Amino acid sequence: MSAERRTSSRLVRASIATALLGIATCFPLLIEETPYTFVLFMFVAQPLLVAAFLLFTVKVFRDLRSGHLL
Amino acid sequence: MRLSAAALFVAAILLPAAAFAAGDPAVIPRPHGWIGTTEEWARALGIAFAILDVLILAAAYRSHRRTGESPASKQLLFVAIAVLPVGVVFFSYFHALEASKTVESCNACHVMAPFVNDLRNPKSDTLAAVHFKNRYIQENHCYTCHSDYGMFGTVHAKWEGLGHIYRKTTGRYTMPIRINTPFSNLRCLNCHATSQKFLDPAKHPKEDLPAMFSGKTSCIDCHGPAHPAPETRASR
Repeated sequence: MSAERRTSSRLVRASIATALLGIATCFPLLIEETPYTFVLFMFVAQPLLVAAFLLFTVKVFRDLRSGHLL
Repeated sequence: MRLSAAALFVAAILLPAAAFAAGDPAVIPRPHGWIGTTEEWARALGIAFAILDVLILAAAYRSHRRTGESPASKQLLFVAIAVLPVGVVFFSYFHALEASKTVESCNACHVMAPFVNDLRNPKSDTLAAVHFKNRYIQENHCYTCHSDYGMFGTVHAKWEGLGHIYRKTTGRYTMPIRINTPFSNLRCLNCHATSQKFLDPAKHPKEDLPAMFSGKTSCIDCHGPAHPAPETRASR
């Protein structure tokens, strides 16, 4: 596997893991709203979901660049 | 094929959502055809979206591990990382902002317990308890009196709520808990100012009204106490 492919694969796995963590930290708030679950959602879940999206975006841009589409 | 996949998708979201929205059997009889409140549906849809997202993420990971990158795994990833989380966050916000208005949400911090216990005490004569037991306020009793009106009143209340959570979490507060700014008469007047009881000159002489509207005379001074006296509240 080429280094580029390995990096791409790592990015995919990292974005899946980050998205899973982000979604998992949304669950406590959806099950029961307390000040703590709200803080968890605001300051942990949302940044994790944004991070997952950014990692995925980087992966997409890399793919487009390697295919000379950008 | 596509139609059945779409039907499966809709069923995957709506079935768990309906189950969650139904919730506990209501104590008060509901009107015919009752299917839950908007807030209950938002919460239920949030949970359904989150479950669906976890399943799709797992499928995408499996597909990626088995066959490497394929158009199918890329599509799954796009849905699971860029589309469904938007729904989860939207419904989480909706649920959180609605649920944070409830008395139970305020009572989640134990320092608020003396206030809420007094509020629910039918023998108490504090302003809060009188409003609660007579149902002068239908729901969200703490929030209704402790937030300003209009869009920015709500935003300000939420912002202050975050400050409360921060101080509670870090222990940066002193007991007994006191209101940090004087209670605005406008919060009382928004409901009472146009009532005949308030406008009765025997109770509120006309010459006193400007001082009430400007806040020079506080409603609480004559109609208080709003809550139990500080010395009767539990210490930290």
